[in-house]
Amino acid sequence: MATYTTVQDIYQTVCWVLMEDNGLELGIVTEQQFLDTFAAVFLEFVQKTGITSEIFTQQINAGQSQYMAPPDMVYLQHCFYGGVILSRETLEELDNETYNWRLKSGTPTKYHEDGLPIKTVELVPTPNYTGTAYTIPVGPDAQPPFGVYGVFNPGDSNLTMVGSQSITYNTFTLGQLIPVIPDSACLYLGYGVLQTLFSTDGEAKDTQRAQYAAARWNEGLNIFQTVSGQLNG
Amino acid sequence: MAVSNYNLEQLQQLALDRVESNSLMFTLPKVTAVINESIQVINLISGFLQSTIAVPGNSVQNQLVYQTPVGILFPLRVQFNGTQLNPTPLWQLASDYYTWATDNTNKRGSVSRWAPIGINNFVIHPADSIGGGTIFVTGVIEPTPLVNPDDSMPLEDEFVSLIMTYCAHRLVFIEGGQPFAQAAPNYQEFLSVMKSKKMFAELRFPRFFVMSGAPTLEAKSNR
Repeated sequence: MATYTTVQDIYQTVCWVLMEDNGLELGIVTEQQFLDTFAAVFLEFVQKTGITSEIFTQQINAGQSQYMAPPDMVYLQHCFYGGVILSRETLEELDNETYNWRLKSGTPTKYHEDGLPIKTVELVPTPNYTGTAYTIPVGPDAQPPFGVYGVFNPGDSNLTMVGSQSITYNTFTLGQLIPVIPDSACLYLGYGVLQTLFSTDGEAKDTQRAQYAAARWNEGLNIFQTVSGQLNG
Repeated sequence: MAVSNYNLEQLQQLALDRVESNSLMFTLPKVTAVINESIQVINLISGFLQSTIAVPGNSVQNQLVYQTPVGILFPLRVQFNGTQLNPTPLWQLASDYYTWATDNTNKRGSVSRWAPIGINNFVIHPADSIGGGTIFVTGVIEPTPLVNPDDSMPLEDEFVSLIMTYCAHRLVFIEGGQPFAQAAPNYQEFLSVMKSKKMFAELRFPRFFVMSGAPTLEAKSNR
């Protein structure tokens, strides 16, 4: 999503603040430490702000009630069946509302995520039909769920998930563009990294600068959580 | 409020003036990076850089989802064929209009609302059944980074002052220790001014307190 900001830019910012202008050479913090911290900070930012969303539609199968979100969807916001929004319920609500709800089948109107593996939803009632099939990729890298991105395809009578976008890997290289988040958000990743480095026991520990970096990191989270809240209502 | 064109060289000089012109410690690449960062932060909070950009390729027949045009950081308004659309959250659109995903202008009249899906997608409702309609998105845009000394941008004097307040503490952050403790109140000042300029009333700023003076030797040895 970033169009010009690379991991190298954040690395350079961190190097400047650690007074190692030509790269991390002193060994107080290593490049690998930076990359590991960066990956953790990036994931936290994406999870906490959810500013970039994606749409994923997958086939519904008769008799199958549970469906997985795609691996790059970090937080599920809404589910739709054939374009119709499904209401999110808790297990308790379902138990109290409908006797033997798990045994019923028909057109799904609700879903829940309680007591299920992460990023899995259960449709209620269980679908009693099979939606239009999508192409299943072949090869060793193909991982379920299989479906299409960016469209609702209401005519296919399938399950559409809308959620915040993340990435499926956790290793970065210095030369790569920062994915998912826009350029203006990338600057806060530097503060997230610095907050961790300055507050971890070691030669780089600096409570004063850790406090400032933490304030800036929280500033970034607050800004993008507010934007996300405004957009998603 | 006076608006003038400032180029990078002028801003660099003003920023260096705030740090005793110490260009050995605060080299031009560092100053440039901090100036660009300050413009990004001020823009994120106040949304002072806004623009209207057309969706490439116009509307497509019966297409529901469109991507936010490149350059728009987050969308604020959408126009379809010159008409302003009403913003509505996706869940509300889908709850209010049961058949929203299959509605088109043939069935439901003109396109009249839009719903953002994150910052990168949005839907229009009802979908355009003809296609070829113009869609313009107005929003906060990504600032173009200042790279060359003569790269310039129009800035209100007040924003220039804010950029300098930002640079005054952010540059010294590199130095740490007592100089940073002395410069850190500039961040508090920056936040207090930005509170009156924020675009979203709901935005809350972090608490930040400045430690008084430099850490004592005893405190350092206890780290």
